[in-house]
Amino acid sequence: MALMITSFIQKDSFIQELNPISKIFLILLVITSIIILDNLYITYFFLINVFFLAYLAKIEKEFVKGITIVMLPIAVWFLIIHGIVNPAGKTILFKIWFIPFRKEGLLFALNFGSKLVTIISYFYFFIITTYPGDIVGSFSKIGLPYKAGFLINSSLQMLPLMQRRAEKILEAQEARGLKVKGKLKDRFKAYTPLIIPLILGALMEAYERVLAIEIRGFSAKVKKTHYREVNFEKKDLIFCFTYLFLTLILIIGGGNF
Amino acid sequence: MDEIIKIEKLTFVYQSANVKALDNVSFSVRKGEVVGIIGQNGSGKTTLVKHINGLLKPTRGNVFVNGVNTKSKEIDELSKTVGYVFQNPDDQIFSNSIIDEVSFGPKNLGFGKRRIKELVEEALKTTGLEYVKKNHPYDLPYNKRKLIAIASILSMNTEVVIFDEPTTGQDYLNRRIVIKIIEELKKKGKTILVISHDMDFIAETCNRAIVLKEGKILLDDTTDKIFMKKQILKSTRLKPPQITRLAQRFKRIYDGTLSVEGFFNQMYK
Amino acid sequence: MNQTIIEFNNFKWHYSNNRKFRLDIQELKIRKGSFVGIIGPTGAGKTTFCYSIMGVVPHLQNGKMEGSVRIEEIETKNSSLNVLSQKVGLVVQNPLSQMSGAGLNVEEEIAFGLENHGYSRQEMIKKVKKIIELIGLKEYARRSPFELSGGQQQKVAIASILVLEPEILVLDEPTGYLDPLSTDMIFTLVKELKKQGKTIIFVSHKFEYLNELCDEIILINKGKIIKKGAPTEIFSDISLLSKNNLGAMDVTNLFARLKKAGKWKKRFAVSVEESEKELRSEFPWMR
Repeated sequence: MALMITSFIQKDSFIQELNPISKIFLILLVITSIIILDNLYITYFFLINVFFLAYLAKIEKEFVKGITIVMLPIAVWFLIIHGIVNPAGKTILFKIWFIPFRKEGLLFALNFGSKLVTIISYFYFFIITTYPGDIVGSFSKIGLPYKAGFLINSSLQMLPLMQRRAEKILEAQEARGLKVKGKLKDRFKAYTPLIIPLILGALMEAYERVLAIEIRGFSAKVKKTHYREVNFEKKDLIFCFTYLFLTLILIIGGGNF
Repeated sequence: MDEIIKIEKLTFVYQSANVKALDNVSFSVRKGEVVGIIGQNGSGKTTLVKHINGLLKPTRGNVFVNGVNTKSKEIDELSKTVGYVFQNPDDQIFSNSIIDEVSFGPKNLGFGKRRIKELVEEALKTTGLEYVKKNHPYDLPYNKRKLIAIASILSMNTEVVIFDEPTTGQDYLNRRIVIKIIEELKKKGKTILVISHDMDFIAETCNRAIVLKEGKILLDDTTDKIFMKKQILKSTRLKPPQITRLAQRFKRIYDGTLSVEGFFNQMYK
Repeated sequence: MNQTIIEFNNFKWHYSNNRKFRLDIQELKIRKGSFVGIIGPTGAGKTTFCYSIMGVVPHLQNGKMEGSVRIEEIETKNSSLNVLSQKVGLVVQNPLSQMSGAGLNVEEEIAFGLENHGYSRQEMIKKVKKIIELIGLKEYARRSPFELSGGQQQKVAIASILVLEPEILVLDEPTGYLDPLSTDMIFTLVKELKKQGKTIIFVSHKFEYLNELCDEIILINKGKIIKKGAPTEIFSDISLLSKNNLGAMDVTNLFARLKKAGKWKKRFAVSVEESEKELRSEFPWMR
């Protein structure tokens, strides 16, 4: 069972059908407004919005799971670090054991952290609602070199495969007497025999894959064409204008919250 | 106790995919037997064999190793008795030297330093790796790395050794080395299970074979008798060794002939 | 029709991390439309040989090349992989590493090569459809390549190469990781391609299949061509095979055993059919 979905989920909704450029446009709007208006309410508005979009895309379960698995530990860690050591911290709010957590640090973490979480959520949303081949195409349209886009796309596809391989490696090492449960010391020692084969295997396969794509003309200095058709349709226009409009209202009205 | 492995009405269902991989499978293996597990991909071979060292636990039925029910044992406990050589050596190799790699198993089993040294030396000798023991595993090509994987299980000195496709991707020379390794294990009285697509290899090393199809046992008999069941083999698309196929074209020659020498002897008895 | 399509001339190659010459082929001519089997022990240079025809050597490997490899009139070292990939295709042992991940389904995976070469969308749709029919992938066209079995993935890999319509197809132990059923499927497919006039270079240990399909066998060892000849010639020469760490087939060994006992003086058979025929004609009491 996959820990977290990291690749495209096919569902019957218009979100998956949208031109990736529209979604990238939205991401740019979100980033711009969050940075220009240093306003937590607007940040939370956009955060709620992405969950709403996930719901529209019928992937709300997977989305929430993915966000929680990645974000929650990071967010908690962030809060703890800044709560304790942020230099702006003066007022002690509470103590855990004897370690003081200060108000200013915590507020900073909350503020900055929320923005970060929101922006990352939009990227995750983009990845799981956009057809992989289209991601490459759209990246190259906004200026990223074709090869970089391909790399990102193809790596995302490999993640579930790596998960499967990690399971196989675990089985092979357990069959050699490796203990993975129990004492923390044992779990720590288990790290190397699990990670190294995974990495080496990934590298070897990557090397072979480079060969395979090169012999299919990957580096041809020809303008690449697309098998899949991606058009800018009416729904894209509606989507982009709606969010542009909303964002403008927020920016103009900004500061009044 | 002569029966070292006992599979009793074993049924296994992969929960996530809701696939019944094994359906009421029963058989026993006596100490010292060399049993081939054959069948098409998806027939349940690997699923079956993973129950023997506890990687999988039965959905229904029981698996006994040396009289002990695997349900009550952890994988690392069972690995003292059952060694499993996986198909892809690169799924397990992680050390900087071959000798370290081969020492990993026995270390986990808790053997003393001197005993580990003994077992490792012997395993390296059996697999022909003693002169490269200080080398990095990846200095060697893939087919030699398969031998490293075998050595790292041999050094655990388990009663039972399971091989998963030991000759895949191997050339003639390395195939012969693998056959020699199995012969040596046989001499030591080990019990061996081999999953393989290589019918010539099965014919040469196994005295018994179990044919699986869609999670059920289709045939369980001595190797020669298995290769005589032409119709059944056809339904699983398994082809007998070349010499056996030639033998089956002659009434005079036993349909279960497995070797060139055997064929010759029947011509000039 | 019998023109030379691949030509090696005073060809020498060694990888940068290994000073000794890895592959040394003074002269080799391969005729258009022929099916050539390449045999040899591990480390013989068979893969380097395949790379040299594809152009991976010298373009994607670090090393030094001398002499030339010509594909029709083009010299590999003066050309580029992009040009060569429209004349030569290479399929390797690991099916998974050949799935580029470019697309979400088999159709798109196959189209990837065409996309790289800038074909128009209409052309791509036509070619992809044709190849899917030819190779028999209609059932899997919309599925993810990563969900398929190894044998099916190899078919996709072959399709992805063939869609570029190369004249030459080089296969480096494509059935190495496959089960017998898939192996059979790949050999059947390649047999079909031969009928269509493709030039095929096939590296394999599966002598029984090679004997049936190949026009010619080349035995490579220690970076050199040891012998080139008809399958019956090569596969019946037990001492040649043994000297090069290769094993003869069962039936051939049977005739060797008969010879050792003084019962056989003719050439050794290399297939089950041939063996039956020879045994019955020489030993009528064999019923």
